[in-house]
Amino acid sequence: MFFDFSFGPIFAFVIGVLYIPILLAIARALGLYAIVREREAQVFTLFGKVLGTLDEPGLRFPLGYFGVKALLVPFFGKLYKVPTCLRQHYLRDQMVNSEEGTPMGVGIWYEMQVSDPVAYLFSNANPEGSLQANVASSTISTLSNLEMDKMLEDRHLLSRRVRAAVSPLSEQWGYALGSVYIRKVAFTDRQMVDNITDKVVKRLVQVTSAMKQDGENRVGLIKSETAYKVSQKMAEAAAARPAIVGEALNAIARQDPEVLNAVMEVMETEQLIASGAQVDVLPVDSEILVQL
Amino acid sequence: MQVTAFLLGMLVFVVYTVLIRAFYTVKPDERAIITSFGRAQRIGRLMVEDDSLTDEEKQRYRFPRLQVIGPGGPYFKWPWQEVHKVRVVTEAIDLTWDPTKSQHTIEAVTKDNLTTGVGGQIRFRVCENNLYAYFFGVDKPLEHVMGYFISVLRERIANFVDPKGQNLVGDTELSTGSAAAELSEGVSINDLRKNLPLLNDYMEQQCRSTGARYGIELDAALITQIDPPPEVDRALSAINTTRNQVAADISTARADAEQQITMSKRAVEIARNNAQAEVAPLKELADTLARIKATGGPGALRTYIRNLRVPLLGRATRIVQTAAPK
Repeated sequence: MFFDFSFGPIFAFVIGVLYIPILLAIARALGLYAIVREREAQVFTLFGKVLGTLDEPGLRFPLGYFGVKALLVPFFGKLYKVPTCLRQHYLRDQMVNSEEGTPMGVGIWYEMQVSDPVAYLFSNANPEGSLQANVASSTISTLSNLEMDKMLEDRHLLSRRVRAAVSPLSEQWGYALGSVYIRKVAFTDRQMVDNITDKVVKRLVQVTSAMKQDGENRVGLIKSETAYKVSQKMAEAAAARPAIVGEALNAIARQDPEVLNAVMEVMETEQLIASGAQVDVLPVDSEILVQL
Repeated sequence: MQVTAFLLGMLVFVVYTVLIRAFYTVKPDERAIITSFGRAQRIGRLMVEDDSLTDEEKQRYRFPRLQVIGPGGPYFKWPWQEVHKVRVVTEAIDLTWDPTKSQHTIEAVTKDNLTTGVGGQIRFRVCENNLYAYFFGVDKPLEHVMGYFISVLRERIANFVDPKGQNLVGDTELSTGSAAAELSEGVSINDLRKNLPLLNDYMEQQCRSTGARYGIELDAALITQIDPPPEVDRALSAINTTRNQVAADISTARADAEQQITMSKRAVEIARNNAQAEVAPLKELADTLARIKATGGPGALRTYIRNLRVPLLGRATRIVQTAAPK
């Protein structure tokens, strides 16, 4: 054994427990092996130069990839671990002006992923900041001077345009831009928001008035139609007696006019008797007496 | 002695890592995957497939299928393996959840440029078929899904028009050709409120691909609140009140009309019945007199009338007679 066992059994026991992990840690620190995790890239540099990249997950032996130089990396180089998973960023409140001159705040949500770890590490001191600036500037140039409605409604199309404009530059810095969405388009001017609210309220008030007027018209229509129908019916009711009585009298007359005269005389006499009126009996042809 | 203690220490380490830490269980609501030296165990070369993605998106969201360990156990793993567990139950999260900002509502602009608030929840669960995206592929899957969801939601609200072409008047009978119908066009806040289920369906449909994209699948979008500014709310309430009032007025007018028409119909019937009642004795008398004439001739008819007039003589107060010419 290469160490002294005179420290006592407890120390030896502790050393025994830690022996394997320490051995593995030393081997790893010396670059004898590397564990590459999922969506991780390990960039090896030596003497200021990039030795290579390990991006396939699992147990890897740098010696096999980079030769003996890999053993010098812990002393004269550096190992960079770069996550290559999909990330997202929300760029809030980018100010743009519509064609009408309306100031609007736009929020851009985009996905990004390191596609080239070496370029990501060494091409740009602040690739994320640069990407943000690029997305922001591309958004402003794409959206500015667009009609407000287009800006609000054609977001997918505009998002694709922003992505197409930013992608080539971002790829130079080792970043692949994923989906880009215009997440928010808002009016920044409070007064304008209030004006639009007023406009909608007025329109709603107009609708209310129109609805009310429409209702009144309909009620008026129903009432007038009813009056027309009722008056027709009342006229029908008024005409019922002449029609029925007249028809009956005509029928009797068609049968026998003498009978009709008799009927009328009978009815007149009965009414006269029933009335209880005073009766003066005059001779026939007594017109002079009547006049007297 | 020291050698024995050293070997015992190594044995303890081996027992601890190989035996004690080697066994694990997976709860009923959990799924697990294993990584060996950092590499996840894949199912051959199978990749996650989703037809709802475009060809370009398929290239970007390209994740391998992993071997998923279901509930149960105890399972064994080697010391160089690591277990990653996740709950796959359906969970709910408020729409306003944003780790970078505190907010009570989601602001959105409608088609008629009105700034309104939106509230609700989304129900989601981790996609068992795409655990790679959840564990490794996406940095913060839930934040990612929310970012995507809110983007799609705001875009949809900005474009939303009532697909049925309905208007604020609502009632078909009331709306046909009325001025209110024309005026109500473009008042999309009302369309949104009326069509919340439709909006939810659209969101679910649009977010169907999130499982393949981010490893989280949307179970349901539950947008429950559309909160316009208070003055718009009041104006909408006034419309509702007016609509009810108009409906009530029309109902009352109809009821009145029906009553009046029914009464006039009855009046016609009454007049007819009265006339029939008046005619009935006439007819009967005419028949009787016709029979008298038929049996006794015209003289009998005249005699009958004379007889009828006899009571008049009994009631006469004065009788004037003229002398017959000599």
